[in-house]
Amino acid sequence: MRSPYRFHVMLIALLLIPTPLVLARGKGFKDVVKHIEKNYQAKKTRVPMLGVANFFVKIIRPAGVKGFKVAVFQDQDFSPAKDAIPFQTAMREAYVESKGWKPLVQMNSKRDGANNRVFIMFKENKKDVEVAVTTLEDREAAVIEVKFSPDKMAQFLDNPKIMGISLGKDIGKGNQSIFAAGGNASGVMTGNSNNGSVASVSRPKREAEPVAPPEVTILPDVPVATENVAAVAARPVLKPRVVENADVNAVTDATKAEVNESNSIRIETRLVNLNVKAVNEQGQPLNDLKPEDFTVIDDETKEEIAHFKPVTAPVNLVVMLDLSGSTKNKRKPMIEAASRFIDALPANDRMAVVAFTRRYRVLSKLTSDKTALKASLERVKGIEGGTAYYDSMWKAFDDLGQLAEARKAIVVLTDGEDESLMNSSPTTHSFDDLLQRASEDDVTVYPIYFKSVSVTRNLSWAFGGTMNLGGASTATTARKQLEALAEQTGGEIINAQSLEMLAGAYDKVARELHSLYSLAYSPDRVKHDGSFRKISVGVKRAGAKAKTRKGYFDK
Amino acid sequence: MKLLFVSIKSGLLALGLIASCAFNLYAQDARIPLEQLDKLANVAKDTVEVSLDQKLLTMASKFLNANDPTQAKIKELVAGLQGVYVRVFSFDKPGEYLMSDVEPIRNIVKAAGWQKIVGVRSKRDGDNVDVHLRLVNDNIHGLVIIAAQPKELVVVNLLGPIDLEKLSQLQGQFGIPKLDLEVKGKVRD
Repeated sequence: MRSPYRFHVMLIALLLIPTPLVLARGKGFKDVVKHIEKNYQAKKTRVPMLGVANFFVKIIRPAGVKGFKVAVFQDQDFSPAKDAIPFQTAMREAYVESKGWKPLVQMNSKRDGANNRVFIMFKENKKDVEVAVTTLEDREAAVIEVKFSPDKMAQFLDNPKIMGISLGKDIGKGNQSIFAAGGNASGVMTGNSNNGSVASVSRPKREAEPVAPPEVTILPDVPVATENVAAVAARPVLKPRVVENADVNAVTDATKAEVNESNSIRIETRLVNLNVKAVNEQGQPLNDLKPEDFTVIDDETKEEIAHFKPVTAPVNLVVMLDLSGSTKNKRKPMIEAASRFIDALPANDRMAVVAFTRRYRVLSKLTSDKTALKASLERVKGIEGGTAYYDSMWKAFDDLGQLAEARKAIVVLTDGEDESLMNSSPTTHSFDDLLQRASEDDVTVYPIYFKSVSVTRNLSWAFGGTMNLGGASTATTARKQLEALAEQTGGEIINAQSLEMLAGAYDKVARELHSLYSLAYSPDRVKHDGSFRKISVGVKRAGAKAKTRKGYFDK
Repeated sequence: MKLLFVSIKSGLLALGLIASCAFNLYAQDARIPLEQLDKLANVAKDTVEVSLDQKLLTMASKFLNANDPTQAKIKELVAGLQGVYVRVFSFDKPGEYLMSDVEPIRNIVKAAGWQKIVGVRSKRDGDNVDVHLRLVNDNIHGLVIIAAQPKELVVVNLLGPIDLEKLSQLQGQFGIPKLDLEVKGKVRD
């Protein structure tokens, strides 16, 4: 028997059922936060002083910002579940077009098994605009909504002041050196002496230095390059060139001599250093090779190996830590991972620890004292700032260039997002400069790609980055640049997109560093015409391959 | 007389409005349905999608500093634009996308009203970068750049009049990747 109320019940049910769905849509920030909490069982991370900051913003309205909402989720699992509503759908439902929201940027990255998603929505609200930025990574998420006046923001960007206080930029100021002032840098040594010893050592021509004069000197035992011709010729140093009237007895197998028109003897030495990794067919490192197992081709010419060091030889290393705001809450695991790395290295390896933001700070000079190195890591806790990545890397190349020894490496923990990529901040050296420099120096670079979500980064993205909108591909560009730098120098980019991966990344670098052979040769046909000379290294074993830097500029 | 003046004024206004709308409509003709490429997001390692309409561009250009020569040039360039739409797909290995995936876009720019241009090429990727113009009465109403490399596909759609000589200045801005575009000699066929 049909109930007389059935129709009414169905009608009421139909009216009620869609209600939560309708209500669940279009609330922007609230909906996205709810979606994250519900679909990923995530809990918001408490951001200290957020309420005070919001109050401050509403009163002061810095840079035209009239209000913001922030929700951060850290160290939780945001990998997409099979039955979860796709995040893209959730975003579209939260920021519906009928309420004026427009999609501005959507990014999705599945590199290295991760699944990182960025959504930026935009809405006009009379004279103001609202920007919503949502980022989801495997372990972290952030939702930010900002309302601001574009006119006031533009004024602020032209003249950055808050309450009359100017916010100047300090990129490149107050930097330090891990090495003693003076000496040569990246290996071109020229000398002019009647008694055969090198009287002076000069740096190759470079563009203006990015930093203030060095304030910190390296340990006294670090050899800076003021030495005699024999020493120069005997050790593998990139592009040493010793000219005119030198003592013939000082000439070694790695030098070439000729008599010039004035009957003085011109001796020219150019040694190209290579850090080489050799692997078998299965990709396993080959650590028992001898010089005769390698072949070196320099621009189609087979070269003779003049110097060789096995994988067990000590390494000189600069460990660089990007201490921009995005890593502020991760200092403890960063210290622990770096500390393990220090322990993992052989006792005779020497290491310097450098922190960089907009400044280049030497935390520890080059040393093999592991206790001192680990103690220096504690100093990262109080440091925070922007990211002058290119200039800091340049400085590290400068510092390592002062060492005459071969086997030099930089291990840099960073997301590679130089501020110039985000908001056109000035940088002394561009990435192209840095890449060219990397091809000239015999330093192997291992970037540890450490990218994480941060409120400050996303806010800066929403404020400055989005306005440039080159920022849409900032992360991709930065990652590509890190890959290019590693490839150019024969190193490898290592992924550490979560704290759990960080220790493993450092372990891998420690293994990589001691799978490197050092070879040096004196190229036969030096032209000094600035052309790029390709280097190819082979291994005389079936299925074996060698990896080294791609080449160098013949200057 | 007054009535006549009002009528003429109204007529002129209407004509202006129609002309303006017509230009916008033509510019909208230059809009390519980039959504046709979205299926590639399932196989791509990295995907970037940027959609900027005229309002957003106007707002974004406010943040470009007119005192900075580079930014001032970009500001000038953007002033006439009515939209910037970008899709970037990066792949792990060559062959993960097929030329047939790009064919719907290529078919659109092969149709009447579009012209492939010479003189603009990529220093980096040479022949792999095609630039097509949407022309109405010899005026540029839009542009499409298709950069199809083995491991990366970039499609850029610009709406509105654009100075080709200044095209390279837009690289690295508004989500447009750096394609090392250079303009050489004669630009159009």
